[in-house]
Amino acid sequence: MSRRCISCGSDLIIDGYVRCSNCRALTPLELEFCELCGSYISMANQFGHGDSTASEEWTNHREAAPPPLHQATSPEDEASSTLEERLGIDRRRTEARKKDIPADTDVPGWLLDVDAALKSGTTSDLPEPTVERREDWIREQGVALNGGTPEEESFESPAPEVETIEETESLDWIDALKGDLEPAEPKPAGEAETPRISKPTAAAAAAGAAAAGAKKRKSGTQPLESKDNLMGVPRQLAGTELPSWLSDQLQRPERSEEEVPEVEIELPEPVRSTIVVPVAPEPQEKPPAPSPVLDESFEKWLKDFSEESISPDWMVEADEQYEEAIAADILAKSAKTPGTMQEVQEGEVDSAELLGIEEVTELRGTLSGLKGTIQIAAAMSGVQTRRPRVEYSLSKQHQKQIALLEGIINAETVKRRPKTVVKVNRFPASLRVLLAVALLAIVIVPLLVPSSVDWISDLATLTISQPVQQFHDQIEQAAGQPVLVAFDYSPAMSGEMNAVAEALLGQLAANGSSVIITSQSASGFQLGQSIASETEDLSAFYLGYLPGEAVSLRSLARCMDESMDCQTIFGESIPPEIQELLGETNTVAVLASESGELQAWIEQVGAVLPDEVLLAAVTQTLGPLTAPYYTAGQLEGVLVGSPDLAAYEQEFLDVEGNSARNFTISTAAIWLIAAFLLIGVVYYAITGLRSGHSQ
Amino acid sequence: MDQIKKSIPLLLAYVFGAAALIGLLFIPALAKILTSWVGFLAGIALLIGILNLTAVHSRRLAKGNVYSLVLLISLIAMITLGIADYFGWTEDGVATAFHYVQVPLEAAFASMMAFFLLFAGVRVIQKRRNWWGLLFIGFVIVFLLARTPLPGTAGEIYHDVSGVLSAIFVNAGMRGILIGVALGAIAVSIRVLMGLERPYEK
Repeated sequence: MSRRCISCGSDLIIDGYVRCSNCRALTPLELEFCELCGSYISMANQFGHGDSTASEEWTNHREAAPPPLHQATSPEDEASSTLEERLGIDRRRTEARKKDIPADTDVPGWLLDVDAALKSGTTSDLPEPTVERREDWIREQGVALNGGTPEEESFESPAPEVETIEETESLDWIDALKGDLEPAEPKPAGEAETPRISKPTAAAAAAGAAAAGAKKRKSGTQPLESKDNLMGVPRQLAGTELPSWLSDQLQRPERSEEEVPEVEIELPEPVRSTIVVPVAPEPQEKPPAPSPVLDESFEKWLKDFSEESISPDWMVEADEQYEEAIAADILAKSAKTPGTMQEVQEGEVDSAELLGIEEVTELRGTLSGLKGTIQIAAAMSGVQTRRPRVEYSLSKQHQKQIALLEGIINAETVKRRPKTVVKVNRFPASLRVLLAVALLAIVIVPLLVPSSVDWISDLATLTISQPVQQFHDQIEQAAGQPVLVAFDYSPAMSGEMNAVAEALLGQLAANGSSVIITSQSASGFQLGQSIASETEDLSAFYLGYLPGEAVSLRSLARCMDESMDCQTIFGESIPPEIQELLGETNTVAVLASESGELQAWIEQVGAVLPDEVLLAAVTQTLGPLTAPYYTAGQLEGVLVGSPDLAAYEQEFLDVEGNSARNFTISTAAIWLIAAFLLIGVVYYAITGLRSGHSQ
Repeated sequence: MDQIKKSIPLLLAYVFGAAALIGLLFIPALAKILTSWVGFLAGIALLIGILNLTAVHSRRLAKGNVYSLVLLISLIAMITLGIADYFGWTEDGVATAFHYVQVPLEAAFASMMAFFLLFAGVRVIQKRRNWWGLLFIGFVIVFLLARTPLPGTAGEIYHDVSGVLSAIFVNAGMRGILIGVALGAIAVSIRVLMGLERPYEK
């Protein structure tokens, strides 16, 4: 007969011995417990021993089981050595145990269910053992063991659903527990009594388990069947014949407390002399009951619920603890302590006296029985002793520093005054209106009455500066040659620059120069296109708007280089006539109102074509920017705003334009503005000085 | 993926920055090619800007902004005029709108600058009643009057003095500013080429 393990495939039954699933030791087949580890061997009980039918069932079960994880050892190898040598089994122990183990044992029902499930392959239906199920199982054992007639019911496999316990109406288990918790009767004086808090005994627990066994289970599971009165050990597991030592252990909890024999131990003489049997004190009188506050009916009701009629468990337990604590206190006080410990005790006493705390024995809670616990309420409400004040000493240097700091602080506080919020008078609206009206008047009146400002032009003659002279000279030198004119000013500056552009284009037209008009902005090109169209006898070519600022000017500069062939500028094709003219252009006149645009022309075109003549006509705002470039020679001529234009027209052009009138009007406006600024400086200077003195 | 997103623009900046520098210094043809690419990219950027502007103001118009309505109407009107001019349906429609609408409006804005500058000058006198404020206003008045004809010998002396001031202080200041701007542009360019500055990631 041979059996193999489901998981590893090793032989389980070898010549009358079964292999333990826990320690893998071989145990005689008739045994239910492993000889080595003592674990239960289900093999024997499930299929019996020497039962061919059972062996066949096991074989079939094995065939249905998953293949072994590893190959088992061949029977031939096992047969090569004796069984005892391989297994290390002590034959004598085996023989001795055979007598204690009963021959016939019943297989528990739950184990049968497990096997059935394994056979059918529905192992997933087996519920996992839960804590509650184990507790129920244990409790059921208690029921069967507590002397009651155990019900002849087999333990069926638990249902997969969650078990719920229906509580019975009877609370016998509570009464059973109460019976054990009743305080012990006071011993007569002189008897030694070990003060302790009574705990629920094993018997009481068994009684409780018995009561719990009366609860019915929903799933219909029932306690294990047992014959012997053993707590927690089913008969199937323990058997009817147990070793004496085991049966004694299991039956011990049934003994009552009174049957516990006193153990007499002979103590050595030095220890014996130190032990003094304490004398039980007189029972302390309980404090008198408070005077009744409520009416008699309430008192009667209260009396019904007094300790004499119904005593709650917690009260009983509290009384016991109280008595035990008193006894412990007496014992501690009466016991002699060694000399070394006495010193420590004295020190503790001194410290307690120093702190003014009375050593109180804790009666309740987790610190019950301990002495020296600090009552929190008393410590917080009581008057605490003051700690000795530490006197700090200051050196003379520190005192000097302190005095200095105090002096500085006092001085700062003196200097600090509440700042009077000086209301800054906002620019009065009347003054703003006055200024606006004045400026408008100085501009509008000359337009309506031109003779009103003629006296300004009579004050002084317009002078031609050197940059203006060179500007004129370069334009004259470019007569008959194409000139590139860039209209890089915005429409906002058209009032000032349009006059310059008209004068320039007029001069170029008079000189017979062809003009190539371009711009870095679309609006500038529109302005140039419109002005050029209004200029008479002007040969104008429109290069168009050059996007890209500096990059486009770089491309334009290459196109102006005769050595390079240029057909497109910035992706835009250049007409052939313009290509030719660009190659012949030697003069570039830039009409700019922004510094960036002027710089782009100077840095891109002037750097690539150093021989090109670069002229600039700019607004008065941009005038200072042209000075460095003119000084450096990057600009050949500069025309700045309406003053230079007025002088230019007056000196070089025969055209009677509006530049002179514009110049006189602008001069009048400038004088007005300067006058306002001067008046403001004087006024606010005087008022500021006055306010400063008054402060 | 984020690393790749950050690496591609940086790599393009490296490559094209180096190519532009080499083309500028050694290979003019390469620089020409690159600058021609900039042209159509600038045009595309302008188109995208117009579309974005339209989208933004359309959303604002949906919220009830009247000024966005005016802007969109102006935009549509100018585009329509441009198309009409191109196809010959109108003659100088864009130029007319430019000259009679845009130029007067911008000129009006510029003319208001005179009032603002005057009020600002008076405010400076009012706020800063110290020597630095006085110095500032003094120079403003000097250079204002320097551009105007002044009668007599005093006028000539005044113009000589203002000329010297302009030649020395103004020129020096402007040169300093221009050199500083140029050096800053060089530094920024080097930082962009080295990848330390990444304006394209903003």
